[in-house]
Amino acid sequence: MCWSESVAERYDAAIIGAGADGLAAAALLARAGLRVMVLERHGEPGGRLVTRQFHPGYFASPFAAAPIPDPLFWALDLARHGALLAPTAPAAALWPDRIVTSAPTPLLAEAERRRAAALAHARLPAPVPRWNPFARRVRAAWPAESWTHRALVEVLDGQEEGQAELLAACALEGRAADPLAAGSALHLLAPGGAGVWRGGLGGLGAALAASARAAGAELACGLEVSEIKCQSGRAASLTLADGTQIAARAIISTLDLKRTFLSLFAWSELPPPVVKQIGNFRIAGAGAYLLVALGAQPQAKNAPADLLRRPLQVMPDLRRMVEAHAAWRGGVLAEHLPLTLRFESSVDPGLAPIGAAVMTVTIGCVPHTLFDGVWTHEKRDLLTARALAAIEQVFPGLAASIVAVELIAPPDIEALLGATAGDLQGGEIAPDQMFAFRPGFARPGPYTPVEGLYLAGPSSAAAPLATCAAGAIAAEALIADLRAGRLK
Amino acid sequence: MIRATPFHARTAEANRDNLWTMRNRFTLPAQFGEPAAEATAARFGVVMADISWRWRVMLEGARTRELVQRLFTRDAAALNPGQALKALWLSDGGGVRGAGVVARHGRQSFQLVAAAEDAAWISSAAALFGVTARDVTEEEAGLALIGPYAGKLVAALGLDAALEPLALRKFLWRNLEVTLSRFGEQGGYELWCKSEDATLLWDRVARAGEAFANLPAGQIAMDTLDLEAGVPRPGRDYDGAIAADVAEPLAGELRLAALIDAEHLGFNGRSAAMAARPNRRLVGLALDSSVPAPFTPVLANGAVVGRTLSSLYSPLLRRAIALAQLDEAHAAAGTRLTLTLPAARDVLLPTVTAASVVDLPFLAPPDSIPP
Amino acid sequence: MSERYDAAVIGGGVSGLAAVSLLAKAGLRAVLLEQATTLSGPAGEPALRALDPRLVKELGLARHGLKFSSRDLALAVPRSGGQLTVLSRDRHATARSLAALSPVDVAAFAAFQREFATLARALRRTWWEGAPAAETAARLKPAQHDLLDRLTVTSAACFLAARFESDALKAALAFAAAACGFSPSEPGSALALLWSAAQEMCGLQGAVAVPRGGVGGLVAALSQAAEAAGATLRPGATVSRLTVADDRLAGVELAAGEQIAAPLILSTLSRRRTLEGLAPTARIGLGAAQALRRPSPRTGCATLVFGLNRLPDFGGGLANKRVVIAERLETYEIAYTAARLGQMPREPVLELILPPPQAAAEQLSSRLLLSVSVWPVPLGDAFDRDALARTVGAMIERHIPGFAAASCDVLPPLAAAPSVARLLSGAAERIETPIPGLLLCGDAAEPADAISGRAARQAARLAVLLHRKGGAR
Repeated sequence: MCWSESVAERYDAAIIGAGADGLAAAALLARAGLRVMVLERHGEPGGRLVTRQFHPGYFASPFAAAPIPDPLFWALDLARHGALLAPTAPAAALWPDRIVTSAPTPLLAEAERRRAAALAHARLPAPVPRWNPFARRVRAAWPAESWTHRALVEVLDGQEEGQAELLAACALEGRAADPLAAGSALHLLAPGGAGVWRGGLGGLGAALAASARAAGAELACGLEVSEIKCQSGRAASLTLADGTQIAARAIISTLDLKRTFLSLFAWSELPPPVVKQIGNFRIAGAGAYLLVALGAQPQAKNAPADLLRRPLQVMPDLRRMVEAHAAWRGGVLAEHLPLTLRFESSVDPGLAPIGAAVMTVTIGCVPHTLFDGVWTHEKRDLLTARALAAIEQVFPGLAASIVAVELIAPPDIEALLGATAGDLQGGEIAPDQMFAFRPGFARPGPYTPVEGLYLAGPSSAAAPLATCAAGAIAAEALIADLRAGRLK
Repeated sequence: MIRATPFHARTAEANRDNLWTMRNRFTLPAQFGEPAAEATAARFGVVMADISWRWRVMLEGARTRELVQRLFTRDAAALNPGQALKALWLSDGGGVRGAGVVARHGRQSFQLVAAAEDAAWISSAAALFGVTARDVTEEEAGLALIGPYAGKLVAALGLDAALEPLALRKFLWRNLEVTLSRFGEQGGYELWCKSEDATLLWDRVARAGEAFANLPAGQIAMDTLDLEAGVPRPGRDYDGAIAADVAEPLAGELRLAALIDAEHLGFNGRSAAMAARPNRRLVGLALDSSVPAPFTPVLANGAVVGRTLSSLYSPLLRRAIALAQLDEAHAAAGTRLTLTLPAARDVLLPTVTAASVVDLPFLAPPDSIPP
Repeated sequence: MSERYDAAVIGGGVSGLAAVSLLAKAGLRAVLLEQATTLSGPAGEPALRALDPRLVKELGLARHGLKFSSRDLALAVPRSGGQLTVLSRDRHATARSLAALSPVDVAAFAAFQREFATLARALRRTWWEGAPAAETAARLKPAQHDLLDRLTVTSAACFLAARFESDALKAALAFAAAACGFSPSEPGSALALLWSAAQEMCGLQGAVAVPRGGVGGLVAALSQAAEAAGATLRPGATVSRLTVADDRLAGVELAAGEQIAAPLILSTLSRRRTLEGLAPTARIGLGAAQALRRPSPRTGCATLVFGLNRLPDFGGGLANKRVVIAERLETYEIAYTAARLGQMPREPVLELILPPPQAAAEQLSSRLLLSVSVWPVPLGDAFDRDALARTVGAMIERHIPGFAAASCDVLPPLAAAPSVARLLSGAAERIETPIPGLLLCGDAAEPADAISGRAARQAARLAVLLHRKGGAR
């Protein structure tokens, strides 16, 4: 489609980014009868929800996505558009001489309840109630608050032998956090991978795009937004890289906080306290992904039959987690990095040639900026070698069957997905950056200091809790504002 | 008298939580591990399910062609050997007595495969024509392979997977006499062998299936696939007409009217069936809940407008689904209705949930990757 | 031989003496049982960060000999060239001094001092005077509510990093969190900044004071007050267990076999030692017993006392100041990680306190005593006194030329607070135990910072209430 002329008509909503949030918002807005345009930088929609063929015949989708809320899944009719999810098998911890499988525990159900409560709260337009710190018993506005000051190990206290490490490793997959520090229990509310989607995460992305298109939203790929222009104090139009202007009554940005405000606005246009607040918001990538093509199924000692269907934590150890976190803070690669293995081809055989296997390794505590400079080839090889050496200890002989390896380090995530500092979460998960403080503007919900601009990316309150939720919340707010006449 | 299928030794071993159920007086695993994993595996890879409990009867004799033309609502006599069709058989009053697959094995030899027994009716009908009706359920074991990779698995086993739907072929396969057929609704394959060869067949399939993410599927997973495909089964969702002159249930109320061939003359109960005017319809109900509600009244504004039949949680749709018979007026897709969930241990007060009417099938059957 | 009292206090020290004095003043027959043969506090640590002002008033400690040699130690930050930047109550002097270190932070620091002083004053009504929390909350302005909400979840390090530019200033201010026993990178530790701004010493808010005679002087004053109130003090009495009769708390039994009957017992020991060591095993629920077994913190704050022959000449004099030696905020983190993993940190954070010269005359020894708080140190087997003395001595020599210590005394380290949630917990959670009539009143029942006497006061008041209620039956 040719965009060389400015578009004279105005869209009701323009959405920056066709990732999970952008597509969900587009589908909901289009269903409500609005004219929606989604602008995506890449040639394909999906953002994080992509499946890459990193070697002929081997498909992997490295970036895990939190579960989609059920009502949203039903409303967007995703199952019929081809988004099929195989449920997650319980995790297991692998050691060279033993395998510890996850025992059923009420803790996970409790975490799920709190996550649902926090998600419900994120939808409420009411301002945050004043929390009184001097009350004899802290009356939490919603259950999640009582975990705001608890350390992960505190909450996991009382688990059986080996289960605490396994649960901590699952909660901190692909992240860097200190399990002994206050507030680390919040990671239990922000789950990582939710299971295996048929065709990888790309299957989910394609279903979301199909749902959005079926509802009538326009998806324009290959167009990059370079600026948001304001008119009389409100966001009025988007400028594309080639100079085209797209006018809209409201704009939803699904980029993270820093990328939205610090790269799409001139800093002089924003109030200085807002710029300072956004600058102080901590966004730092910590996850790297290794995609490994294997010629044969790996074998582990004394393995149960369904071992490869589970997410596998490699030798989880609390002390090593603390050391790895400290190393990450210093910009150094720790000796023993937390590793999680997933063999998605054991659930969906279409992801690898028959008889072969695909392994996705999620590596946590990988700094975006190393203390001694950029990510050179030597550093990448070092990281790859460390990870594969650790895996060899639990899967002897795996190295011999490796056909291809690809490393996606935080700078690559930044380049691929436009995530600041390679942080998929769009901001550290800490008590002062969650719920009402995520991103912490005066008006709660998707509202920003710029009138007419809604934030729905990973830096929003609902984003770490569920996929697509932030986009749905922004869409609902936009529709409500439109119907109430608050948007011109 | 309760019976075990020929695969019992293998299914008992694989039945992790020792949960069993019963069909046709056979003990079957309800689930081997997680029913959600089994149901989704049927759409991701391939599952193997024990279907030896299906009632099979061989009809043989000089006048078998006349018998099948009289019994079944479609003309099975027009089949060639090696072909099959799905049909119903009705009572005199036009009520559905049973549904199944009629396969022609030879010139005078037909086989009926059904989910529920109706031995007395079939045998007495056969006696009227001098045909022998031989129950072969316990002589043969059956294994269903369902999923996108079913064809590839069959090919990997060394069998010729090029078989059309509703066809069957016999092979001598590595010293085993097996029949490969495609009777099921899910687009998969079935392998039948002699009862004494059952465990050998299971082992061969399990070994070859590892490369295709094969899982054994229990009855809950199989019923979930049925519900997602919108297929009601006799014995589970409805009872066949109990007496000769009963007119219930109507084929039109069970979405089975397609199995009645209006051109086919002379089948039992034809006039009553043609004259029937059903005022209810079988539709799908998608509940806003993960708790299933089987055989529950469905309400619109407080008035009862129908009831659900069987109901299960569908892991792929992420909600509980049900087959429901609703009055025509409320059976349009998208209608919002309410029903009360069944009592549970951790629920103090009865929960009312909303549900949406959905045109069947909920999900198209799993696509098939060519072998 | 069995004696009957209305209440017994286990453990001397500031908390125990304060509790027994208050009980006696309220008319109860109270006894203090202390294991050591003399009642004196930890020797040589001169500074007090917190002392419940109501305690001072109610017991009239000034009459009983509590005097202060320094009422308000200013915070000093070393800068290059052997100079000190002094942050004191005098705003103009502080601004001038700070301008030499970091001109851009002058206005920010003044605003920070004002904001925190105002908020702390508003919160004192509840924290110290016991006004209902809802009433206090209603009087706060929206901006103060916002600040409070943020402080309870932000780490001191992040909070200070957002407000100030100078590394040395941020690191020095972060010591307030370490003094409360938290790591400045712990979420919620920013509340410790407010906590220290809310303390009151000698009528001055946010002050750190030095009593004459050190903590020993305070203990002596409290002993006098206790005896004047009519309490019985029994040093040399070791409690071996609590006794139960008719399903109710009856009293204590000493190691020597003597039985003392007292229906109300206040313990200055930690919750774990009280409930596991002294209480009859069947009285606590299994769940509570399991909770006690949680691992205790493995880091703490150590105190070293250096004996000096002469006052080192440094930056206009060390006297009457507390000097925080921490290069930057990251120093805290690196040291904390090392201590948590059981290693002695190579560069811990130090706070030096040298009382004013006239105090030397009243010290027990004839030397000048330089008290150094070191944070963090690993507890247990990993605590190495000699290595610590060497490390700290070397660090001080680096920063203060001409420092020559004649002696060094390493006191037993104090464990760090379990979590920031303690700052937010109510009195009931800290003081009450599953056994009716048994209360905790010591350092372990304090939200933060030893030697404030607040828990003792709250426990004593509760005990008096229980006594009156029990007596009426």
